Amino acid sequence: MYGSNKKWALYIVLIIFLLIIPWLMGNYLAYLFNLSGIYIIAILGLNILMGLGGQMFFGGVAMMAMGAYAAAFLANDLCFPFYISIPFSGLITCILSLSITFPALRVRGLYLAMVSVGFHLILEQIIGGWGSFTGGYDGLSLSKASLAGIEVASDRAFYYVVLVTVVLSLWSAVNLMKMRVGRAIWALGQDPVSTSVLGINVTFYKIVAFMICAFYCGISGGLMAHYLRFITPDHFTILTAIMLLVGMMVGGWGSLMGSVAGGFFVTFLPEAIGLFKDYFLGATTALYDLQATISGIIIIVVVLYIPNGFAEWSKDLRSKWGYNRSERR
Amino acid sequence: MLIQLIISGLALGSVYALIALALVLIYKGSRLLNLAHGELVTIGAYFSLAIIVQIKLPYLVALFPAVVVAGIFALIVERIVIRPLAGSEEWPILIATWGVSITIRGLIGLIWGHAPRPLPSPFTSQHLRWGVYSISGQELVIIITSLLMLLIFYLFFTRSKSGLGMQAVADNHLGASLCGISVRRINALTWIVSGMVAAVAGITVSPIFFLHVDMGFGLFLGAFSAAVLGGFGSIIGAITGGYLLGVIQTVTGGYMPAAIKSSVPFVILILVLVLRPTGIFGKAVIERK
Amino acid sequence: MELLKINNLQVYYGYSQALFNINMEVTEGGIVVLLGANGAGKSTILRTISGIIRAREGNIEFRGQRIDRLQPHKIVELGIAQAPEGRELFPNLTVRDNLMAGQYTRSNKMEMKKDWDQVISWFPVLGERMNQHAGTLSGGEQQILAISRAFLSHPSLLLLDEPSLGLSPTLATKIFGVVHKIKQETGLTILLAEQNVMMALSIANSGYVFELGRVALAGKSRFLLEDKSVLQSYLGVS
Repeated sequence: MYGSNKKWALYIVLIIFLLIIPWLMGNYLAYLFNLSGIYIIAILGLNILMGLGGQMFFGGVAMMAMGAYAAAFLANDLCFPFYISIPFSGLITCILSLSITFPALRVRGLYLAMVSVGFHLILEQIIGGWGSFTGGYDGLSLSKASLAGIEVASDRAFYYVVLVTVVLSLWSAVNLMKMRVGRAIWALGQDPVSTSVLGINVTFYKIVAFMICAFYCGISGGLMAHYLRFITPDHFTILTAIMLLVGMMVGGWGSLMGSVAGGFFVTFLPEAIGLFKDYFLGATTALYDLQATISGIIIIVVVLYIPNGFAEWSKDLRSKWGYNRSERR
Repeated sequence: MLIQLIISGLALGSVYALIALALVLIYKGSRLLNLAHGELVTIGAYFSLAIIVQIKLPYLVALFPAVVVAGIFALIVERIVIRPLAGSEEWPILIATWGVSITIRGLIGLIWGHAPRPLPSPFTSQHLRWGVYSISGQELVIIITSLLMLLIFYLFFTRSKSGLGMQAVADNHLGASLCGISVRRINALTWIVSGMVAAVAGITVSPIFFLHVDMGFGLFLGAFSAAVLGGFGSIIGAITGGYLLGVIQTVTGGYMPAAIKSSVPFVILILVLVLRPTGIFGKAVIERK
Repeated sequence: MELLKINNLQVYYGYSQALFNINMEVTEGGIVVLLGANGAGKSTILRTISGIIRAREGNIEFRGQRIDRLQPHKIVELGIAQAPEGRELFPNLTVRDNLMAGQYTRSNKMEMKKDWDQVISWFPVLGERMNQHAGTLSGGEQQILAISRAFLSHPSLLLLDEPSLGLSPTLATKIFGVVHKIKQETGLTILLAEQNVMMALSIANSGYVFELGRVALAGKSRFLLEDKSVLQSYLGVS
């Protein structure tokens, strides 16, 4: 009895803390938190598809791009308010992602990885080239988001939007994974052959996994579009995809709660690198290359030494949502 | 015009063939796809640039030390990143090699910057003419060097003890160990050879295609597609696929806009994976126990 | 000094223990047979000796030198060769290449040629199939190739894991005949794991009977042949 009271107390403290955070920090930090939240959602989708579903699919950032540009279109051309355009951008991303889902069904492992990278590159070309629709490399801007006439444009205000979306995403993901769908996807990731032998339609659940990922990544992109109010292909590069991957590993491969850690890591690491550069290396060092080098090294270090990321720490959290991944040999 | 294109295509194909061979070697030996492979090509080329510019050696002479350095570099990568992960599942190794790829690209960007540089070679300005056809000196160098390289490799692979060791390890790790073959040593050797072969490809192609940070990726994609086309896992397939892809790409480029030309490897990859995933020479790999 | 000495060996597969407190001695010359049902631990002990599996506790000494922490290829270099369960041949390489791989650790060309000719004389079928891919050979031929390959590394101790497995009685008899012949002609020490009790005991000097990961019985083969429990468990004679 005492234990559960303590737990509730903790939750309430956590909720209050989350609600008042933006007032405790400056605008820039709030901006970073918002960005983290956006990435958390994308990483969530990727964790479901790659971590649980075992699909070596590196096109998550491409899906984010689709969501972002879809949201921009819905908001600019069709004047959808942000709370409508974001969910719809998720749906549009799902539909558009079918183009890569079906080929992806036919290949697995390394081939899928190559194909998905190709998918990303092709999409990058399309976005860059279709200037009339996407604004090409010059980018596309959106007007301020508004809710029932009130502007939701400041970092603090948008924080609540992000918070709500993240919470909803996490909650839906956790529950989704507890349902039959989630278990099927997990089984698929463990061993597709055995799973099919059990009578589970592997193809169907693969598609479902892709769609879930597409939806989350699409929403993430849409959220980003409305928040930054300006999107270019540079927001969705291969480097971003790599960073998401690193975030996934650090947070815990396949760990839904680890996505939170991953999202923060993805946002704060480049900042840390930038600070490091400013203090120690001076302006002549190219930031992009430095980021690349350090990210690469971090990836290697994480793979070599912390393959399970924060998941190692959060074992009890994981037993909460039901099943543990098989042990690393 | 067509013959001319085919000749140039053979040059490009030679490059693809070498890189694909190096890639498949690593795959056969340790069942892993080296995503940093393109960077091995790039590093070889940049090393040779450094040697030519700093030490002022002529192009052909600089090739040798650059190749050796590239081999050592590949060995370092194998030691630090690959060996500790021996026996892991697909994921960690794949991501680790991608990490290596990014790190190398970042380092190259930091050291040499992003501006594309040509690799100085005395052969680029020379042409060999034969009737209505001509071939640039550099393309000739590419073709000849590649053929030489392939010949050396063939002799090494089939006649030497280490070559036999590599074949054995590629076929059955456990069986190789039981014959007294050190799988670790052979894997290291495979990486060294792979790095050297990739470097030769990079050094010979850079005078034409220019050195830049991302050059490795395009060539890697081409080599990978070539290997898949030829039947991934087959050495003959890698070489054949390389030459085929080179010719197809160059011929296509002669009649279509440049944007299409650069996507040929990717298109071929998709076509092969969808229509005939085992490629030309692919056969089901006999399962190791 | 014993050629091979195993002391208090405990071997695990992951969390489950496969071998409990194994103590064994093998003297030079002669054939020692390991008997036991499937899963009793025969293959496990052979794989541990060859370094394929690492024991958790205990040690293995070969000519007084500890080998239990060595890499498999090092153990071959020291003179222990195995024709393992599953044969582990190189299916995409020719018979010739398979045999040459067996000689990987050697350098004395004359001796190598002598052993090579020896093997061909024992097994002419290998000579016939020199250029064929090992994967295309029949089961019996593959077994012969595996044993030959192991022999060609010029070992002091030859480990054979169920050489007669899956072979017809005629072929099995032939294999046993050759194993006996190898011992007689070369004085090689052989450790033979078998389920074919009668055959194995007929050519062996001594044996160990494994049961559920432990050594249940050990002794000279004549003694084992007469032992009631052996007769009962494996031959159904009461």
